[in-house]
Amino acid sequence: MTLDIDDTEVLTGAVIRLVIPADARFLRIARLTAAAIASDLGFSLDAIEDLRIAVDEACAAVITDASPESELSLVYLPAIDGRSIAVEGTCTNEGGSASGPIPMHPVAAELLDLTTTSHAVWSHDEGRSFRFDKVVEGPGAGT
Amino acid sequence: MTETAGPLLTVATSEDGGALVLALTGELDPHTAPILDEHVRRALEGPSPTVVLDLVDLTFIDSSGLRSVIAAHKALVERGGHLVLRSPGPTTRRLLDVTGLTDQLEVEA
Repeated sequence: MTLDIDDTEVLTGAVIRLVIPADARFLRIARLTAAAIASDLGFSLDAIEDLRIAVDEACAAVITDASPESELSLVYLPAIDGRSIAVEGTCTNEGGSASGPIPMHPVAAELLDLTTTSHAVWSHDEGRSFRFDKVVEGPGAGT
Repeated sequence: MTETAGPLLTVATSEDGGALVLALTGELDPHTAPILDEHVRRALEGPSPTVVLDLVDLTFIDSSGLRSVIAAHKALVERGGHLVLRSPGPTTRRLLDVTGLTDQLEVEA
């Protein structure tokens, strides 16, 4: 399975791409990027925290068992109305793995449920991928 | 004693009324959770049955951090001790609430 950002519904704002080593040491960079984008969109502090957690959990799920040379490619897709953002990520892994949903630790799944509007994490021929959407409720998103 | 994992997490240890206090500063994630695990492991070898995690300066925690907290709680209880979470910030408190840990652990404001 491949991620085709041209098919996304929210590709009306900026597209931010980030490639980092598939190592937990670098998750902070993914979180910082998410927080910076959310802040730029005017998200509330709670929504920014939600996005940091969601990015962290989703990234952690796909880099599990990644080989040392693997990379994690992230695409942040903020909507032009500033009320939502989608984040996609793929961790390539030589040899890939069986296709299908990735079982997550219950606590990790619970946090993703809490902090996103929808999410999916799956494995495929080339590695593991995720996508989640975060829609911010309320006027102004930043209130 | 203070131990760091790069700039991400600092764990300062002290004693307070017979309890071992581990003050966490920074972020608790899959990269840094092993540092907390190691401090708890050392605590389990010591005489103090109570460990206090001071979370006032913890700026991020995810499921791996929560799992470390749960593991510490279980290990201490097995040895007749207990774990206290002190001064969690709003985000940490929210995660403790939604995961039901507030009901299982002793949380000091």
